[in-house]
Order: sequence, then C-alpha cells, then structure tokens
Amino acid sequence: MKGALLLFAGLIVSCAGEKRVELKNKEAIGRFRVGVPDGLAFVSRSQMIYGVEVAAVPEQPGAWDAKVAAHADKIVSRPSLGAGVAAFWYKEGSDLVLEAQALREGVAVSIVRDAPEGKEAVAEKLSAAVLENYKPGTGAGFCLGPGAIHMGPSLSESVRIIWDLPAGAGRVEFSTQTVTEPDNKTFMDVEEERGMTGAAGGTLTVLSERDRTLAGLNGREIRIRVALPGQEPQVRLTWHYPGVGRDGAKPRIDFLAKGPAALQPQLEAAWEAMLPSLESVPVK
Amino acid sequence: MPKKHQVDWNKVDEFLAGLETKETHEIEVRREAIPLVFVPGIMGTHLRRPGTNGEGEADGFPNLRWSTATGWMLSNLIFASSDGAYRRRLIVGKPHQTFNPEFLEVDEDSPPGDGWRGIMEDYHIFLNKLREHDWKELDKYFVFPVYAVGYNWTDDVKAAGTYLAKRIDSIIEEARKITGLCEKVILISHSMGGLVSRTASELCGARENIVGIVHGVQPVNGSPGAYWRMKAGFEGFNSLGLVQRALGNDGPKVTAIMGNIPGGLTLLPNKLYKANDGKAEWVRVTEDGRLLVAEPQTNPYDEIYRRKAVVHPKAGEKPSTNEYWGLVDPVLLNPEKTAPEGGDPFDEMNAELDKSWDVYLKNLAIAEALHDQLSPSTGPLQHPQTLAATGIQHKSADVVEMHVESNWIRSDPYPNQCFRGFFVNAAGKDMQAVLQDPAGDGDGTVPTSSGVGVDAPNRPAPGDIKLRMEHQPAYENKLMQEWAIKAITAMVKHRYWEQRKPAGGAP
Repeated sequence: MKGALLLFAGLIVSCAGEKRVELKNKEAIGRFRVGVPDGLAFVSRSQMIYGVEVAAVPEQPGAWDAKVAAHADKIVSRPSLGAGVAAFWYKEGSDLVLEAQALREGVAVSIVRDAPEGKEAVAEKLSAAVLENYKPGTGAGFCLGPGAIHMGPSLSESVRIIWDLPAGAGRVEFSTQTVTEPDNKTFMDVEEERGMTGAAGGTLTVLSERDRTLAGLNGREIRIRVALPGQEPQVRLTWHYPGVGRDGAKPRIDFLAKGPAALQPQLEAAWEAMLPSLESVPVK
Repeated sequence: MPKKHQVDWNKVDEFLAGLETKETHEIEVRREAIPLVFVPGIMGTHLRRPGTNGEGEADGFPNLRWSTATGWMLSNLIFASSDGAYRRRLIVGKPHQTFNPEFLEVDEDSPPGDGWRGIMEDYHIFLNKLREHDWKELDKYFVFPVYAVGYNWTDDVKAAGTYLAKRIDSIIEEARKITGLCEKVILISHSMGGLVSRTASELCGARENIVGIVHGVQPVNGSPGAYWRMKAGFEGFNSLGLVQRALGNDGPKVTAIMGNIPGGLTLLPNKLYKANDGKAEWVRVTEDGRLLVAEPQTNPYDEIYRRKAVVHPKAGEKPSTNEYWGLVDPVLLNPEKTAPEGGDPFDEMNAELDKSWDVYLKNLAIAEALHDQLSPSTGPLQHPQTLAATGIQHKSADVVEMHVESNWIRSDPYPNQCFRGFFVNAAGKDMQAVLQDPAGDGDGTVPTSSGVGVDAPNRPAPGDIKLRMEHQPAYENKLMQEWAIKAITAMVKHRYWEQRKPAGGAP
C-alpha cells in the first residue's frame, strides 16, 4: 500500500462528486484522454478508424525498411498514396494487406488495411485519407498518442490501451468500440460469471457494484473477487459504459483493472486515480 | 549362460532354425506395441502462436491463444472484455486478418512425446485409466503406450486428418524403436476427433496403420447444436463446465469464432443429416403450429448456411424478405471493423471493403468439401473396425425450432442463450421468431440420430452402445470408460486373430 501511496500521490480536487487526483501524465486515445499514474508501465495500444488500423509512434530510423524487408517475399506492389507516404501491398495467407507510413514531425504514422482483390484503389484512397488527416497534438480528433486523425467520427472505431502495475501481475486496460446498439452485456452479467466460476469449483464475490458517472457518461462499476481451486484469488474492477448506437463520439467504453487479490490496494489506487481523470476529446 | 533369442509373439509357432543342440537357449517373446492414440474434440487442444513456446504475450494478447486450463480461462475469457471482437482477435487475429491455418499451432513439446501436454487436462483422467489398466492376457502379447494427438481445430478437418496420419506414422516408428514391433495403432476419438480420425483413416491414407477406431459422442453427420450455439451461445440448461460456458453465452461471441474457422463449421449438419424423427428439415419456424419455414429440403449449405441471417427487416418491406433463420448474421463476423449502413463516405468505403461474408463462404466451402468427401450420399466413410458410443437422455438440438410471436417492442436479437429473428408478415405486422430451447434426445450437443451415424449391426462385443452421458465429459463417465476399454480389447483381439489365424489358438 505504501508503494501505491507514493505512486499516486498528487493534488486531490473535487469535480462532479468524484475525488480527482491530478495526474501529470495524460494519454489521449481515440475520443478520450485519461490520466496515467507514475509507475504504470505501458504495454501496448491499438487504434482503428474506418476499419483502418492506425498507429503513431516516434520515428525510429530504419524501422520502415525493416518492415519492408520482413515482408519482402510477400510484397505484390508498391502503390503511391501521396507525397511522403511509403506503402506496399502484400499477401498474407489469402489476405491482401496494405501497409503504409507517413513521417510527420518526427512521428511515424502507420496504417494497416486489407481489401478484397479488385478493391485495392478504394483501400488506398481510404488509407491515404486517414494519413492525410493526421495532425500533431491531441486537442481534438481521434487520438493516437502524439497526434490525432481529424476525421469522423466513424461508425467503426475502436481503441485499446494496456498498462501494467510496477510490480506483480496487476494490469489496467482502457478500451472503446463503436456500437450499433448500446452494449448492456460486457462486464455486466455477474450472475453468468458466477456460474462460470461455480462450474470450475470456485466462488465469486461481488465487492461492490454501483452506477458511476465519468466524463458525463453514466456507466456501471463492478468490483469482484474470484477464488478458484488451486489458483491465487483474483480481483477485477470494471467500469462499463454501454455506448450510444451509431455515435462514434459515444462508443462503448470499458475500464478494466485486474490482478491477484494481494494487489487489490494498488489496483484500487490506480483505479481511483485514473477513472475520475477520464475526459472526452472534442471531435473537431 | 543361456543364449538369448527374441521371437515376435506372432511367430512363436514357427521353427527356430540354427539353434545348437548342446547349448541352452532362452527365448524371449517380443510383444507388439499397439499405441492407443486419443484424438480430442474441438477446443480440446491448446493452441499457441507459432514461433513461441506459449508463454508471454504480444500486443496485449497471450501467445497461448487457447487453453482449457482454469487459470487461462479466468484470465482471458472471464477477466477480459471477451466480446466477439476480442475472441476473434484471439483465434483469428487482428481485424485485417482472416483465417490462416498458420496463425495457430498445437501447444506441445518438440518432439511432441506422448502428446498429453497439448490437450485439455480433463482428458488425462481417462488417459491415465488407460495407462494403468491391467490388460491381463493381452499383456503377454501386446503393450499399450498411451498417446494423445491434439490438432489445430480451427483449421480444415482434412488438414487435421493429414496431421494425425503423419503423427500415427511417427508414433509407430517411435514405438517400434522401443519395442521392436509395432505396425498399427488404435484411435480413440472424442466428438470432433471422430471426424478427424475418420478423415485420417479414410481420406489421408492411414487406414492400414490403424487396427480400429473407438468413437465417443461423434457428430457423425453434424449437429444442429452447432447452429443453435452460433445463434444463441452455449446453452445454460445442461450442466456445462467452465470450458463450454467460457465459449460464449450469446450468438455474437460464438459466431465471431465459429463463423471464421473452417474447423468449427464442420460441426454443422451435413447433407446426410436427419433429425431424430427421420426428417431432413431441421430448422423449423412455426406460428400457432403452422410451419412457416422448414429447411433444408436437400442441401443445408445452399438452403441455410449461404443465406445471410439478417435479423431485422428492411424498412417499409411488407412482407419482409430477410432470412433471419440463415446461419450467420454478416455483421457478427468481424464486429470490430464492420460498418453499419448509413455512415459518411469513408464509412461507405469501409463497408465496400468488407470481405467478411466472402471469407465466411470460403471457409464454408472448405467444410462442405470435407463433408462431401467424408460423408458422400452412400453414407459416412468409416474404418472397417469401428465401435461407437452415443450419448442419450440429455436435451439436444436434433431440430432447431423457432416460434413466431407478435413483436410489440424493439428488442435485442441476441439475448443470452436466445435468439430473435424479426420480420414483417403479409398483413404488415411486426413479428418475431423466438428460438426455443433444444428438446430432442442426445448428449446435450450431438443428437442421437447423428451420434449413431456409424453404428452397424453384428459388430463384435461390446458393440456400439448408447449411454446416458453428456457430451463434453463423456470419457469421465464410468460406464463409458468401461465400454471403451472393452472396445479396445475387442480391437486388440481382432489384431491377434489377424496375426494368428493360420496357427489358431485363442489369446
């Protein structure tokens, strides 16, 4: 617990009933921004807009050449997607896949998009548009980290970002996905999970369950503890917002923290620091 | 010191030439190894990303992509968001990827050894029984090493059969190195493993290397249960274990996996399938007892599986023409990427690029080709020495029934363990066809009519059998275990007689 206190010490402010720990590190992903406590270790992130997988990372010399070399025997063509954009189509199994990269102010913005044969031009146009609409800064748009795609919102957007606790097997995830109908299932059916746990001879205890509003969005927070025979007991904290159908700015949102029950204080400390910090990023 | 000689068990009646009469000779009878090779059902094999040892993770997903270990299930299916998109990423890959047989491989040692590591731990209960069994008189002539052969169940069953055929070769070679004498194995299959075993035997050239095949709860002609689960998830009315429950409790979760892998589609009813009442049509939609839909008439591929299961009617259409009773709702195949209609021009481009339905049709064609080869119109191919056990007295989907009701409010087509197909009738009324719980006889997954698909009269004792048992834990059932051991014994006796016929003499 001492470590957790050190990690998450900060200025506590009150906002809309939520105690906020003012976090210096903020991560912008998709249509949201969230504070990240010191000490959480970034694991991975992914973003998709208009069905195009997209990433932005600091430019690494040689990285693109290495990617091309890794696909050398599968490359079928090298299309032109505009000035300063390198691209190639390759075959992976039966998939025809386009990879492209544009360098923007020290940032490598890359996309991956597949297409049925004969539809390559459509995929190239869509992918080029995504790359063209990248701008540094995350004041608005669909955020990738150092910058954002100023398009949409699309009807098919998704993001996922993962951090690990500094010690042990604790993990925090944040993910969003556009929906056609509100999703009232994900992380919402404790009884089903109790059944699954029971089927394995274990027990599930609901530690707490309540409505909780983050960034003006009314979601459901559930904290459970699961004990299975022969396994270290685990805790899981979830906050689920079901989303609004066909509204890219209001996708389904899931916060998830999980790990061994011994890490519950650290997980809860991270949780209480991160959740109140969630805020929407303006679409434009 | 006596001079030592080895004689194969099946040559003890032959003269031993060249023995000096003044010497003492010790003759050791060399026993024949008959490996007992267990072939698990779908999802009974642990799968990992190639190039890894199954440990660690990449891009936030575990390198071990499928395991039935409780800890893995807890971490990756219960403690993860675990929706259709997540499951698709686990088994098929990123949204731009479609089924690729090289995406996953069996999580086993290299070389695989006895193969036990690669399969579901629950199977070990029965495998240990086999390993510890006292075969009595048969032990004088034979030894029975126990192997398991897991396979990539996402792939074409033909590929799994080819893999099994090769493993049979290598197991025989290995056993021969140890015992000096091994020519054939006995296969023991569970569920989909029966299809894989028959494929190895009848389509992949392994028949001559197999003494016989013991089948347990094989979906010989497929199961409407596979359709039911793709519509509604794994059902909760039987006592399902963690594994089955973790597979998904609604149609979107199950379709995101099963609709994207040819292996899963092979479990659907084939063209020979008949319901327990003997009728060909196993999708039945009724309104007040009146049959509105009865499919298939002859070919479930054309009449059900290739129809897009659009669950909402087109606006203004009266009566509507959406075939909600088709197998797959296209929007469930790649849920993370598929754009609904009516977006901006870039959404429309994304929709134009969507190939998930075409990919599904391609995977379906793979399953159909296997069905057509393994179960031609003349009947299911099978090894000449076959014994089969069928589970009964558990509610199973031998038919899939939907009952039509008025639909007053807009509701979810995919509630947990249910499905609702919406349509507008000729009178312009909004209606819904509601999926009914399975009510036929079987093992909870495979209906009796399909389970007995390879049964035949006048087989040697213990013969084919029907037992009151559930599908997944079939080999944990004591009566099933006893029957399987008797079936193996019968096959070993067959092997004995095959070798000893000229000389005669009972074992």
